[in-house]
Amino acid sequence: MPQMGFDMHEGTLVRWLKPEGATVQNGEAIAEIETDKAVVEFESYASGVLSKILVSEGTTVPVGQVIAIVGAEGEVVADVAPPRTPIAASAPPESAVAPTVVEVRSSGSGNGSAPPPEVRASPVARKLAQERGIDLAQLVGTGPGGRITKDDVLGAQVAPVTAAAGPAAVAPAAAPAQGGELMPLSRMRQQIARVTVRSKQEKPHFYVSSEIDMTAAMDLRRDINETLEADGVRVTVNDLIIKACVEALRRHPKFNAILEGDGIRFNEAINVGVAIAEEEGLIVPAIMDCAGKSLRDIAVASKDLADRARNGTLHPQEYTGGTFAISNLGMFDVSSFIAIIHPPQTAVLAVGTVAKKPVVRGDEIAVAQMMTATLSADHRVVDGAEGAEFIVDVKRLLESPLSLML
Amino acid sequence: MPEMTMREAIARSLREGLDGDSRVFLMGEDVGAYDGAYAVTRGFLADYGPERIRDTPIAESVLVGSAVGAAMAGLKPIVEIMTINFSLLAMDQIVNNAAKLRYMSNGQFSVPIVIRTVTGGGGQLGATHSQSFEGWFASVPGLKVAVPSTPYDALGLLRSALKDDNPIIYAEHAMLYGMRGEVPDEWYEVPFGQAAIRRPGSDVTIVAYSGTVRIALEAAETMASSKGREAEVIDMRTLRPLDLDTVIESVKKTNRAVVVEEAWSVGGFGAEIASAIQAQAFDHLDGPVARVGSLDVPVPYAQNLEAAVLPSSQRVVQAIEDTFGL
Amino acid sequence: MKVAPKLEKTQAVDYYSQMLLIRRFEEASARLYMQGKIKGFLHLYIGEEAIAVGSISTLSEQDYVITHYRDHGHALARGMDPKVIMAELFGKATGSSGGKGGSMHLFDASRNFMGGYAIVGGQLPIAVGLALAAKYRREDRTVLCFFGDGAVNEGEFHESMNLASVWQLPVIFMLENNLYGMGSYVERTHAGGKDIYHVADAYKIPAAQVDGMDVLAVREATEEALKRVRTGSGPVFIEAMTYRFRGHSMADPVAYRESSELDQWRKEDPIEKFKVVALREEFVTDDELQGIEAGVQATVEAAIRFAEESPEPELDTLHDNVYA
Repeated sequence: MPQMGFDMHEGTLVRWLKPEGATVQNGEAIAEIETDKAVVEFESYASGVLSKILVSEGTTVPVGQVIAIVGAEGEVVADVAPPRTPIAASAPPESAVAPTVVEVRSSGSGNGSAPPPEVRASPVARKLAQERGIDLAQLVGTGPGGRITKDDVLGAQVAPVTAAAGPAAVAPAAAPAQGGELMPLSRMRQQIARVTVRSKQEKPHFYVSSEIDMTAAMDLRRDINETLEADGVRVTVNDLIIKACVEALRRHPKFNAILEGDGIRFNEAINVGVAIAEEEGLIVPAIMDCAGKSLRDIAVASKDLADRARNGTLHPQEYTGGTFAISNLGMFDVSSFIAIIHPPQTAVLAVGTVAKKPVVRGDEIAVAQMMTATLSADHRVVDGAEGAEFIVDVKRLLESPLSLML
Repeated sequence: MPEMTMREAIARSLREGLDGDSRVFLMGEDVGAYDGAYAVTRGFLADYGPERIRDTPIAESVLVGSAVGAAMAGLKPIVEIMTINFSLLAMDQIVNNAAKLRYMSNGQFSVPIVIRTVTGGGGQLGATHSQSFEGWFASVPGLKVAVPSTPYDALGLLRSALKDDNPIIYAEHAMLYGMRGEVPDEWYEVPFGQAAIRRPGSDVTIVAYSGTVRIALEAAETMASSKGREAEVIDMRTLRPLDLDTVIESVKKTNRAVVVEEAWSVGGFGAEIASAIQAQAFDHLDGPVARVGSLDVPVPYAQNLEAAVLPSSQRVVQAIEDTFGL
Repeated sequence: MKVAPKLEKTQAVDYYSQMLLIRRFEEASARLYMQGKIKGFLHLYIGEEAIAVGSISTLSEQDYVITHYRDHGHALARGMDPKVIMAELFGKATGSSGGKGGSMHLFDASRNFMGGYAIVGGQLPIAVGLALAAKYRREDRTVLCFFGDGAVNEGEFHESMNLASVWQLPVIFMLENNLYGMGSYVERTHAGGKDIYHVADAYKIPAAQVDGMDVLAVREATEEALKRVRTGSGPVFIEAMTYRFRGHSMADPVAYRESSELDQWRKEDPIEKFKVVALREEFVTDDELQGIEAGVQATVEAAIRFAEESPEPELDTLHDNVYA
């Protein structure tokens, strides 16, 4: 089948103009061939005898297939293999159409669990999160359409679990300009603003406070530190509070849980976040796996955490892995305050300073080292009574501190 | 450093070319007696004579085609197509001949011509005289495309162009001829394929060229003063060869990009740059690559309508804010 | 067919051999196309050989030749090696453009053969530029530019005629009027009818019409044109009336013209006509004609063998020569 155009791939032999056995001249038309553009006369490019016709009229064959043999007169043409399968006869029967099979994929049986919500995150946010071991599902996106951005991931490392509740967390209503310098928010400040606003919008907070007599705890701490001095380990008041909280969380695991969709997911580990004031703002890295740690271990871990926070060598999971947090403003002579829960956690404990106060013991007025602790909790997960039980447990543990040594 | 206008910088380079090489001559509609439609070649006819400063009929196809032929024969013609809108009448010669002769002849012939032309809108010249087609040419292998935005670059790029053995589209923006800028007395060249960072920044990369560089710089200042976001402005200088390395490096740093061009966004060359960014810096993006170009209508005459169609610094600012979700 | 006064035997043999080479080369090309060895577009010059041979034979080496996509005949008449042309048609590395050009884009810088151009009319502005370069450098070079009747209706034709005349450039505009622009008869597409040379009047370019099936008539007309062009008085226009014996391209079923018209023109076959004259004037003998035929066949077969045996272009040449 001759090529008769750059886009011709097959041709139909319409009619043979010469019968088998006829003499043909070079340049003489011997057949009519139909391309998809036209019917064209095909001129032989050899002279001789049309000794064999291999493609019958009405047959379509690909370009390059032998359609006939022109030989010398008297030349015997050996049997030529029958032509390759024709592409189609000129009037092909309609081939049966196979029924279309539509595969319906079941999305699960019964009331099936909804697919996990898709995390929208920018490519660089995904890459950073992966590099630093941050779970994007735990982050709140602030980009267009709620997309998690690079800032959100970086912010997760510095985001406060708690912050003093105050007007800073609320977007100010547009007010008439009053003059004065406008200082742009730092990135960390912006992040703190976003996270706290989100928390307060999303989580119905409630608060439970308790005054805790720290006298015994302070005495114990003094004794321990004398013992541990040779080791270079020092237990702080905060370490005692952490230890007490860990024990209370063990007994009240809902405070160590997160709300997820329509359920409450209980974290297996107890990772207690500790608020640390940095120059640019608050960071709340967590002491990981506190459940198995002794008071001494916690003291070592919290000192290590503070040191590394200062020189910037915290692990990403320490930034994001907290399951509960403690904010301690005791060093500022603050009697009490309430903290904002860091999403997705359920509770935070705010503790003020430890100060000597007159207290009533039996029927006598005595001097005791007192501290006020305030629990902020997410009402969607826990109720006030549970909050009360939790904080009372913390109180008991700190007031009978030997139990913390067990 | 001495200052000069874009017009003066181009004229200086053309004179250097004419002075330094007898193979160089100028050809175009009204480049001689009229002094050039944009007065770039003022006084050239008197200084170089009609053999080298050739007024042609209004016939863009033979204007470019004859330059191609003269170049094949060993000359180095500089052609002026009065505006890039008229280049459409010479498309066959530019695209089918100038760009391909070297390749089709497997290196037997070169076509060292410089086609100077005037691009861009903003002068209320109406729909047929306000277009930006440099991106079309930049999609054709075999051509090189220069899009200077400063007098310094105009001179430096034209010097490089005159040394180049390839056909070059050199697009001068109509609204930049009067722009003043520093141009040193000492010899320098601006190589093709080397973008310039016009303003460093850490938060978003704005890619621009030709007339949109000024817009990008304005937008960057606005972003810095109003939002505290620092934009890095990259001037591509040439669209082919295209210095993507500089763009990609910048985006890896800023994680965001806005590509600004004066051509229509639909099918515009900015899409090529945006595509390269997503392909080569995908894991560094913190938001979709934004584009700013002319709106999807012919460029209208009325001042307010034209201003609405062409890219502006306000639209660039808006695009940046959108990528941040501000 | 008349005999030009100064025809030498060697010239007669030369013209005959060249026309025959073009004919046999193209017949072979058509066969190879149908066999799938040559692809893409293939436009045959069969029937028009006298124009290329008659005109190009008058040129000197420094003159430029530029043409359209039906360019095998012009390339062979200009002396291009049939081997590298055939290899180019095969898309082989040894082709004139290393397989990057194809049938429509033959080039040979060493012979000032400035190429075949495949956009109708596209070579005309370039011809003007080649002539401009010659004039600019005060060189004695003429440009012989071939184009077909279809190109006459392109704007580029008119722009080129005008500028060449305005600037008095040394161009011979050689119109090969084969009466059909693809399938459209010239009188249906050109307002001036089939005698196109009148258009030159508008540009004050001297013009003549000549029998394009008569190699000697074409030669004579071109010699006249060259004389005039070389005085520096500007371009000349020649219209050579001819006929394409084959379709526009290999895909052309030639449904638009009567076969009787072809039969009529076949009687004007430039090779057969010249053979009669050459024998009559005793420039050649029958034996010599047979010798020429054999020699041409051998040349064509050698070209085919060369093309067949040549390697395909290396893929790593793909990006070569996009830029200098």
